[in-house]
Amino acid sequence: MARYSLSYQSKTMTAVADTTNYTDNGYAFFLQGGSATMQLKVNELYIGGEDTASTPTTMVFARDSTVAATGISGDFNALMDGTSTAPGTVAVYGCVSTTKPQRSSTLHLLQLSLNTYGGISRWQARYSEEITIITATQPLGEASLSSVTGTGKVSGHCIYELV
Amino acid sequence: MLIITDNFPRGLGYLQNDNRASGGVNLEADTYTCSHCQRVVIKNPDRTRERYRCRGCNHHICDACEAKRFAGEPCVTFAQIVDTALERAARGDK
Repeated sequence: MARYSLSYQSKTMTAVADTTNYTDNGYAFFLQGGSATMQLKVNELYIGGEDTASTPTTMVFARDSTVAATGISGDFNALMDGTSTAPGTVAVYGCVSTTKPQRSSTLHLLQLSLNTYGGISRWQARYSEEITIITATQPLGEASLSSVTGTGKVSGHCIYELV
Repeated sequence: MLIITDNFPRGLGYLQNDNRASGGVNLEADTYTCSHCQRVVIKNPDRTRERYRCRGCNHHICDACEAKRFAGEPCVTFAQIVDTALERAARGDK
């Protein structure tokens, strides 16, 4: 098992409705299983607002009904334990892709709204109650953090474990 | 071994939403994750209605899953869904 931190920096959100293509770099990240048998457990999410004026932003962490594919890039992913050896297959992550992710209209998992004028929003899972991402296909193979309304500028991270 | 038999969730998750810089408030709240659908429930300290506990998995569930359970759906935990999906994937089933 390896714990990772997936982070994103100074991203200006693009508000996107459910089941609509995301805009490249207009959402925080998507996190997708790297294989049909991969399981990921998300145990912390953090968003820090970086705007210089009041900007309420409705951030939501939700499963995706369309998963990202091809041309994937963006964001940062690092092992948290310096002594760990990365597994042979790792998770897929990013904020740019040719096939854009689309947020599920029903499987919203966590609402992390904040005013990005200096606001922060942080969630830590109860032990053994982590959010699970399994396989690499919808409906359970990908989740993303994005804005439903509001165009705040944010940085943050997602701590997850590759089981 | 100590077995706790009351219905209060323990060792909860944690949510902080600090908007003091923009004139808002600093909200800190306990959370738990519904064992049926994995939605994270932010506990409203002002809520007076009961928190639903599934007798099948002995875990707190969200209001939406409680409505399904009340309508007669059986207890199927997300862990069971994960196991099933991974087994299918390992077998190569679609």
